[in-house]
Amino acid sequence: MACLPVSASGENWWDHLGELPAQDEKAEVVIDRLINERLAKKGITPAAKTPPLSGLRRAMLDLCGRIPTVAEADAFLADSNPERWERKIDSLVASPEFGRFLAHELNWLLMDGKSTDFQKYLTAAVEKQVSWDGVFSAVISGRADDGDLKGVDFYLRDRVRDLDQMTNDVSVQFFGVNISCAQCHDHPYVTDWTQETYYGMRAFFTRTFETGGFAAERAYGEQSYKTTKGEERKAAPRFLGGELVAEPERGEPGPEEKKAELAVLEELKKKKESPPPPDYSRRSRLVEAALGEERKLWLARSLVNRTWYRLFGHGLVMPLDQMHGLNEPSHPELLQWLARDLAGHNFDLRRLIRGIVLSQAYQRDSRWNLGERPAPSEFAVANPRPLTPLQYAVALKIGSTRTGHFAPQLSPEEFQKRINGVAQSGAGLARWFARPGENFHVAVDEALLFSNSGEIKGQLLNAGLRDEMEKLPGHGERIALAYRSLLNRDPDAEEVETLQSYLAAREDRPREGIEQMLWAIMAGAEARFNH
Amino acid sequence: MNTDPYFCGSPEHDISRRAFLSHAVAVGSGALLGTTGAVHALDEDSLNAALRGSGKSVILLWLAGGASQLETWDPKPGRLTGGPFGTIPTSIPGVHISELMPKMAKRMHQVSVIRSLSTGDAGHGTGAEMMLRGRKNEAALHYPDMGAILSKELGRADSKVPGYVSFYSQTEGRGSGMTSPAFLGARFAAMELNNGMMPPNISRLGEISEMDHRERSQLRDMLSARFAKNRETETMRSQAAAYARVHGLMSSESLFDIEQEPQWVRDCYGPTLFAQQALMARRMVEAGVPFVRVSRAWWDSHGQNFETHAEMVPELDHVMATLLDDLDQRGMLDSTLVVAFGEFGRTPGINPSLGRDHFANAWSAALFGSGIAKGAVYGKTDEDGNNVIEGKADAGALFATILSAIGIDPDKEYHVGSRPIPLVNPGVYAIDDILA
Repeated sequence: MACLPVSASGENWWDHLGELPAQDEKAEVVIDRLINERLAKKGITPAAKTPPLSGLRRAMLDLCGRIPTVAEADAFLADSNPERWERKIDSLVASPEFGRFLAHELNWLLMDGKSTDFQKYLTAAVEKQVSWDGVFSAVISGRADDGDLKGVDFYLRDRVRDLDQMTNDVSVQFFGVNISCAQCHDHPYVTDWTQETYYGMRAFFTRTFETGGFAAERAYGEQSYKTTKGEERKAAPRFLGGELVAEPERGEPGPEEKKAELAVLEELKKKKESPPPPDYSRRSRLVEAALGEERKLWLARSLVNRTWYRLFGHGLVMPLDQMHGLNEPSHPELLQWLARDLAGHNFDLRRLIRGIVLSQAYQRDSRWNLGERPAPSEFAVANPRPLTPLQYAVALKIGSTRTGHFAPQLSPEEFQKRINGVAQSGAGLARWFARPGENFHVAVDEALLFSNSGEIKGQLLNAGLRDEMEKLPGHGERIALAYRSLLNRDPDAEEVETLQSYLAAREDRPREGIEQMLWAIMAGAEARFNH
Repeated sequence: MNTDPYFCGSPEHDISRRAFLSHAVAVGSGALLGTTGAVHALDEDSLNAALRGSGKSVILLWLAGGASQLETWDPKPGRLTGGPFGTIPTSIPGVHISELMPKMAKRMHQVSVIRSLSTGDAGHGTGAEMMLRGRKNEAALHYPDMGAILSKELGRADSKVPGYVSFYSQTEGRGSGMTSPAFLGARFAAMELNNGMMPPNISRLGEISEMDHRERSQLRDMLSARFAKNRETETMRSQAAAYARVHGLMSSESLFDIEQEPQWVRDCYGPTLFAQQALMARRMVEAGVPFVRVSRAWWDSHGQNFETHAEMVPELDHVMATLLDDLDQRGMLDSTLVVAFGEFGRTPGINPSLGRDHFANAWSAALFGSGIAKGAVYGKTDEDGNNVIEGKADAGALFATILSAIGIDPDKEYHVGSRPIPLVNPGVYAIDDILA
């Protein structure tokens, strides 16, 4: 039922692009040129660069899933090198925290955050710098493996009882196209998307079946469907409406053959072993078709768009699952250039993220003081984004820890160990929050939890930061420490005045005063958003 | 009719009964029943009922596991499929229901029954998902459930009471009776009460005084508003709105306290969990909650169907009849719709364990109150109950009927991005014959 209005043109947007910037340009330069060109055309002056610590907080949340410690923030401010931003980003992108957080995010994309061996596979893959086309290929092959690919088969196993789900998830998650409408009828506007498109994709999975908990594949089996007029048709495999995949003629095996096949499967089931891949695999054909020279741009564009969405809170194409030829991106040449750059550099996600984060567009202030805020698709001003459960929980945990716990003189190993410890305890807290999607609303449950749960009190208020604050001589110092630790900035004069009078009114119960102030900061909008 | 006009009928309650009726008069004059502090705290809401839109509410009695239509609304006496129970006449001439439901039999003239549900999915999980949404989720598009839609359509943005409460204390089918606001967002998610009747985190911790609790919130709001200046987004507004609701919800703490209901009213409903939750549902609807689901589980009688139903149907009969009378006496029947169904019905064929299995081909639902015709019986099954022979209705038709009955246009569309999503699928229509 979910169908969409599109432009009247019948062409794909990528067929009438303007000239693309040269291939050897830097991503950040291309991003800023193309975004600023469009802003200039519209007469919009973009927001100024965000203050340094705000930029650091934003990048660390996006790249490592946490806020900086007070010591990290101080060190960044003290660095007088004009290239400190680039140097910082390079060190973040190279850090183990980056890999872990990226794997966590990819696990949300592909597995809805479910904790399975699949996440372990992703973590290992990111660590070993496996390219995105490599991940795609391993996921679709779905081989149960005890080596490097251990856990990758969970993606298919999780969906093997519902091949429509499998077909649609693969289309949406890897290629940004939701063809599920075409399951029941030809798409009313996107003329390319017919039932044949849908069943052509499904045909790649139609031979996949469940046995002994594994997702196995047969070498035979056809996909058929009924048209809206009730006519029965066969669908041959084709990638998103592309050319037919040529394949050998393969009839159904005879009853004897089937019996033998079943016996083999039963034997494997008893041994809890995975069935071997067929001598002819349609899923392998899908990998080949999707990674062909032009076709692989689908995979690249979708990853670029999702990454862009993650870092800006708005995609170059919206919605994220409608990346078809008639849904033109806000910046078509930019998307195409970034996709080509990604595909031309071994689908290296680190490189893509680094390029985006180095752009001016990424580093803009989130405040807009000049009348009506421009549409998010202009990328003229940073879009405040709700934190993910893990980001929020870990930020609160780090922010409420005694600052000395992360002292600058610690060895890098010890520092990392402590960060990991605090991050891990944040994972428990993260379960209380909802994962934001498009049009996310904060639930009243969250507000009630903050307001009345003993857990918030026990884990966040009654914590090291509070003790440290109590030992400080005056309210001014306390307020400054709370802001620097939880919000990564100094409070302004008005905030200091307000909070001083709040604390002064609680001189008879100073500990409660401090806890209440910490609560108001932690439950507030500034701590809840990446801005 | 020889129905006792008094909803409980016990002589012990004579005095209380007068009190009850005098409250009912108060209802007629537009004030909310002043029986509890909680409800008083919400007077502001009730006085602004016009602002709350229609002021309508729905109570869903969710019969988890699948109650048998043959032992309730569509008996087949004397047939091989009929089972041991007889039938009784009802207050609608010519209409008989199971003898296990004498109280509802007397009130059938206030009720509509659909005997021709044919919903096509006899799986617990998938059936429940469909019945609660009026259609199946698609692989890439999950639909909000009935409560989320009604919470959005009937609730007030600044309401002090929740928009959607779902009781599910028993465990059977809880996993598959899943509620979801889907694309409508968390603002319209159910408050799930699965352990006891009190929502989590609604009471202030002892360590903080009421004044500090409030001032702390004000401090939060003030700091947040400064931050939001020049950068406010819809999500940021939703956070502010969520915190703004906290003290209202906390002030409705006693709304969730059944002790606030007079003992004699609680006695009328009876001591069972289902009965007490039905009373809570009435209490919440009275305070302006747009949608309450009360779940009664353990209907899934693959074995010993008749013992199960002999025990459970009379409870359902008593609770439904009590709820009907209570709403009626309080003048709430025109604004409250009560519907009773589960994920499917049960097979006419009786299995060797004397059970009935899952059956979605020909089953029943009952509705009364707001927008529903009084005394209509819609649709017909064949003489053994195997097939619908008249007025086939699917999950979408039931869903559209519920929406229509409380004045919501089922063809209304939401938008997800640029995609229009109608409340029911195209080509699905309400059953006009049971609409008032």
